[in-house]
Amino acid sequence: MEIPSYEFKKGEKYALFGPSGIGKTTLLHIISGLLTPDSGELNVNGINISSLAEADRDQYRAKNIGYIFQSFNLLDGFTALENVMLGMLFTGQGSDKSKAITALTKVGLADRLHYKPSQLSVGQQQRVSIARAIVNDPEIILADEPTGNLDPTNTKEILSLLFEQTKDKTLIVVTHEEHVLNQFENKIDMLSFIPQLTN
Amino acid sequence: MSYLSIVIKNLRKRTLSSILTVSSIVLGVAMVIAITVIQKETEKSFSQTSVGFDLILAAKGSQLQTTLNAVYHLETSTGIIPYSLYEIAKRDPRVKQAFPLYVGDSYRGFRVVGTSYDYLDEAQPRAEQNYELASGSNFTEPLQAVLGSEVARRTGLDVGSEIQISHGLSEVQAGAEEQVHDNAPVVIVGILKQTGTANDRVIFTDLYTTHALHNPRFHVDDLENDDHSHESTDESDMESEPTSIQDLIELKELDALLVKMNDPAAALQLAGMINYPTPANPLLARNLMRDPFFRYKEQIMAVIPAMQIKSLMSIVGNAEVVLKYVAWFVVIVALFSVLIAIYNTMEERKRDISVMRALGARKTQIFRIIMLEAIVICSIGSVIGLFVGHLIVYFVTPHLAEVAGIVISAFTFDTTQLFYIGLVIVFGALAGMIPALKAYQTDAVKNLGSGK
Repeated sequence: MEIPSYEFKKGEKYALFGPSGIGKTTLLHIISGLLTPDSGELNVNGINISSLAEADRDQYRAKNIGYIFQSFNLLDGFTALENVMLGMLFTGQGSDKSKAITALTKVGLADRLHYKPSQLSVGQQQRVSIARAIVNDPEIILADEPTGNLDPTNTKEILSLLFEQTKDKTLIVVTHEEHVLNQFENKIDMLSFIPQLTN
Repeated sequence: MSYLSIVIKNLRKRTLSSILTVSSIVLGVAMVIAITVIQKETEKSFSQTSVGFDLILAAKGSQLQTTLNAVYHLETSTGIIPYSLYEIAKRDPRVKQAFPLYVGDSYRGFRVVGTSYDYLDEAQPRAEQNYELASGSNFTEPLQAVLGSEVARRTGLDVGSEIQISHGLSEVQAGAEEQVHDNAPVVIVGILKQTGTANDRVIFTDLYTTHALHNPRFHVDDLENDDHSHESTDESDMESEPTSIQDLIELKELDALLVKMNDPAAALQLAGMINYPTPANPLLARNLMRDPFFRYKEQIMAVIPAMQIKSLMSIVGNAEVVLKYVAWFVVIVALFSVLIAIYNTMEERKRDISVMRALGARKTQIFRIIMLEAIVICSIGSVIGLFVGHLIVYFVTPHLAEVAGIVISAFTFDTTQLFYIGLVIVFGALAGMIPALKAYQTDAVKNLGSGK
């Protein structure tokens, strides 16, 4: 995959689409700093993230990135509140319980604070995941197939919630679902980053 | 939310495995602590009791046997020494205190020790500790006795009780004939407070009583009155009409003489003179011959109890060292179980670790969380182990008090025990480094899962 110079504008919403295995998730991991590109650079607010040491990239991710996964990736033994607080632990600023409660209230789970993932529906689990992603008020939200495991009703609700909670943030969503894709003005076809195909 | 709460959550997630791992640490630490406490307290009890006296004079034989018999009320006497030795010792300017001992009888398995009237007032059962009465008073005349605390507790006897003393030092076996000295019933006049030594298992009385018990001519009914005020050896008294026990009984022999010197260093000199009375230097030899103890050199030996206890402890200590090695081996096995228990969970925890990495956790933070888990397991295990170890000591104490007169204080914590706990926790942390390293190397991207 070769990505020409590309700029994600602050506060814009983007949808990445393309066939399986083309590198959509890999691109999210590069943006989050979990992976580094083989060559080139990733600049966020003028800072070359890919040139940072691993520990600094981790710190960048803790403060600036909110991650949402298709399979939610909530920790089993932890309650909804604890899962959200876990998202705050690695920022270096401690876990503020009231902030976590606020985040869960925003996603409509004020009455499910002490429920464990196994006691929540899939839609509720994804709401916890969104609360965890927004609790640190990051600039960038990365969502990897956030509605992939949801039924149409939940998909609609989660997308609506996602847009609502990321109004002033840069949202980059990986999806292969057309009805999800249609809700984004900025659609990025990952196939365009494959040089052989482009040529 | 903290690292510790993550660790606690992880441990609770695998409750049974966590309990078993903690239990293995508890077992090892409890063994180490119990052995350490028993070893230390036994040594303390023995050495503190022995420092009450500088020298023991007794019939020739085993020095250790004499020490155990005279100070710890174990073993049998090596033989008889003349009573006159006690009078010589009392007059000797080098001697600060001298206490005679005459044993050979018992009551329900508890030894009856005949001694001087000033023994309970002047002698020290252990360093810097005097005998204290819990009730009643000291014995001041024949056929009176004072009970050690353990004797009173076990027999239920109280001040005013009357006892018939039996011949021999141990309790008569079932079916065997008990030889009771019914000619001399003894009245309990006092009960001592606990001293934490073998003296708690002793019945103290005067020398006339212990001599009377073995005198077939004596019977309490023959006494017209109990007026007496001195210890007499005048044989002419035996010829007159008996009015007191002193008229009937002649104090002739002792089992041992406990001596406290004015200058403790003189004990060595006196012991050397008594045990090795043939110096090559004729001047020294002449001086020795003038020594009042010299004429007893063929009959007696001098024992320095502190030295005997030191050599006894070095023998016993070897066995305790082996036991301690076994206990530490159990701790090492337990630490391995901590390592294995955590290591085995690493595979199933890859996703959790990857999620934390995605949330911004540094690899070193993941490393610390896993290591903290090992530290928490070892800390909980060590603290519980410390209490279980003392609990073992608590339950063993009555048995030790019964067989050896050693009273051990359970739940007495010291820096050595805290050091051991610290050591287990440090090694636990080191054991935790191996799974922590595996966690550190976990590939977050690979284990996060991805969309289609």
